[in-house]
Amino acid sequence: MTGQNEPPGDETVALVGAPNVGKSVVFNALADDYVDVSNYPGTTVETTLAEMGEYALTDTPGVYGISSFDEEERITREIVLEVDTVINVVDATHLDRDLFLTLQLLDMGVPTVVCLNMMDEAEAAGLDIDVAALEDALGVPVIPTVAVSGTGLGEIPERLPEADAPAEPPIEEHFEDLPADLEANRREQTLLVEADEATAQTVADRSPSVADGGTPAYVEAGKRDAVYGERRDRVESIVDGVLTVGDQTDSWSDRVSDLMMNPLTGTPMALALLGIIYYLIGDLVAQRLVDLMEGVVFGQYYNPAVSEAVRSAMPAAGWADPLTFVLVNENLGLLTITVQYMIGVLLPLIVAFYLVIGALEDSGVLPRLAVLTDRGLSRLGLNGRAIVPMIVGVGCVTMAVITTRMVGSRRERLIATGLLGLAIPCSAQLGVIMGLLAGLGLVWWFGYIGVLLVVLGVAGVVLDRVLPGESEGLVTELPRMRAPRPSNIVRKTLNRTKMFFREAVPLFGATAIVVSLADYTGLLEVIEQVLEPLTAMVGMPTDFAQVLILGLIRRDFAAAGMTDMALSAPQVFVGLVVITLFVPCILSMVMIGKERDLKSGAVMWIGSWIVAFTVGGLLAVVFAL
Amino acid sequence: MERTLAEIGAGTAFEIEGVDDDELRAKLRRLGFLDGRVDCRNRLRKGPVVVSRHGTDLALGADVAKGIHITEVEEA
Repeated sequence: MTGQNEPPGDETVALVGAPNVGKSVVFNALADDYVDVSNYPGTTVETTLAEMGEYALTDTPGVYGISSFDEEERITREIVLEVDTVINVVDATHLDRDLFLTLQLLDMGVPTVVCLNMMDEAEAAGLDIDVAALEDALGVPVIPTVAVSGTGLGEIPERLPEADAPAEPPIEEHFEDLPADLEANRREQTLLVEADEATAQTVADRSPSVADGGTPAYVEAGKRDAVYGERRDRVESIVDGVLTVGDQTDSWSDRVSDLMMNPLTGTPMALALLGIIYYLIGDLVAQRLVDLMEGVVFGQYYNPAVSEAVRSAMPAAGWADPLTFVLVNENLGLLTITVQYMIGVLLPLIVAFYLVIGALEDSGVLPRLAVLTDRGLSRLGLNGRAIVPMIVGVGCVTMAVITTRMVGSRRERLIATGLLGLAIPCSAQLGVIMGLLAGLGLVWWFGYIGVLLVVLGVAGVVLDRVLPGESEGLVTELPRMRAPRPSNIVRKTLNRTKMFFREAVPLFGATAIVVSLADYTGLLEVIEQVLEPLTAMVGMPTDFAQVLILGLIRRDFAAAGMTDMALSAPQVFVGLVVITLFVPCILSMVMIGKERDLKSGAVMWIGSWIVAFTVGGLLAVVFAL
Repeated sequence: MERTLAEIGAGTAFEIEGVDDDELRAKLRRLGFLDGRVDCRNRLRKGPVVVSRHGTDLALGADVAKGIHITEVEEA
């Protein structure tokens, strides 16, 4: 359990199941009150706690088995090792796949109730499941449900007291291979004979007799294969006894899925989808709605009113000047521009972004896009799953940094974040850049795109070679495609937005205070003077330094700062390339520090300076600026 | 004849004989992909392979597929 704000229930219950089996919908239906939505401690994986009558209910990340192969599995394993009872949500259309986890829970001796969900889809697919026979075979309650319509869910709390597990698991004979004096309960013994390293380490840590020097192997190599193989045999036997498969034909979702993964049809479908996402986040929200919020709501009403109120409330004494400046200055005032960024810029972007991502997650589109783009991204040290942050980055890099969570290993997250921070212009910046390039002609626009693609490719290849380790290949299940469920998407969006702001507000507040103090003390002006030699190197006038300082705060500010400068066409081109490759905005940097670590953030920040001025300098030589 | 998954095309039915990577073998075994006939549903040129068994579709990158050894089986 997370240990954070735990509800008062005496008994803990966890919802456990594979990804996309409807756990969220079941959780939503069973929960009386949400207590806490938070990252699991030390991770970026969300868990949710709620009250369910006398029980404390927690969800878990979707997994196909209890082990420690990735972060989601490690979290689920920790929860399952501690929890009193499990509600195992099983997809009735994937009985053969999901019963492995069910039998594993029962082998571990975890009292379990099975929620056999998506019975309507199973019926539509021609699958007939004998629920009574399945209940007999498993020896625990099996409740058929259709979670999206609420069918059968009321029976879950009623039958929870019947939760059970066989007293003598079929894998018990394997426990004899473990050292006789080992202090491990049945749940741990099961994972130990499955060669789960994290459990072995936990057991070793509390056994003083185990010598130091790495994780001990309590069973011989190959034991996991044997245990898994025997369990699969039991799954096959149960499925053969309870499942009757009728006539099956390809459904619409199968046909759409095949079209999406065929490059000839999938590429235009993906491009159309990207266009819609860009229109929704990059144009409708990032441009129109944010412009309205910044220009009218905050520019005309909120900021003037707050500034006036603070200035009239503060005493005229000199000591109050710095405080007043920090609170209401025009660059990053704590009560003015900072609030404007949070409410006027980030809130609409975040809600729109989470709605779109929620719809993509719910529909099953994302894994298909990953398949389509895997080959290209593998050349940059990434796999297909990295396509999501790249798409989102064109809307907002800050948001995209969050989505790098889904990319895979730490190595791939670093590469994806580095590429986002370096060469992906956000929509707000892109809008101004498009306006400036439109005045120069189409050839300059293609040149701009070409330079960015070259930088993106070279940076990806370099990062792939420099960073230690090897990239993970694509291994992802393709869930059935389905129409997104609005209630599910709205609930996810609300929870995620709430969690984002709870973590982000203190960080942005602290950043605003530091930048404002630097501004008040004249440090920002000093920075401007230091930058002047660099502007000369890229063939730009000295007042380009002011553009760069604006770029330190927000990328679109930098682009906007160039609109008033008297520049030749090559200077506009070089200037736009430099500010695109220049450092990520303050909000993105805060997010990079939070999602990765401060050291990685600092390396990316400094690397952006080097790349921006190296490329800008080369272009200046080419154009003889 | 034993081949790797990276060498077959869409529509081929096969059985997995071996997986070089221990962790991937465990994951495939859990999902039932080592239990019998598997179908290759899609294959992108020099890209991922999509395999299917009992309604579960799994996408495997090209390099991952090279480490999976298979034998083709006759169509039922």
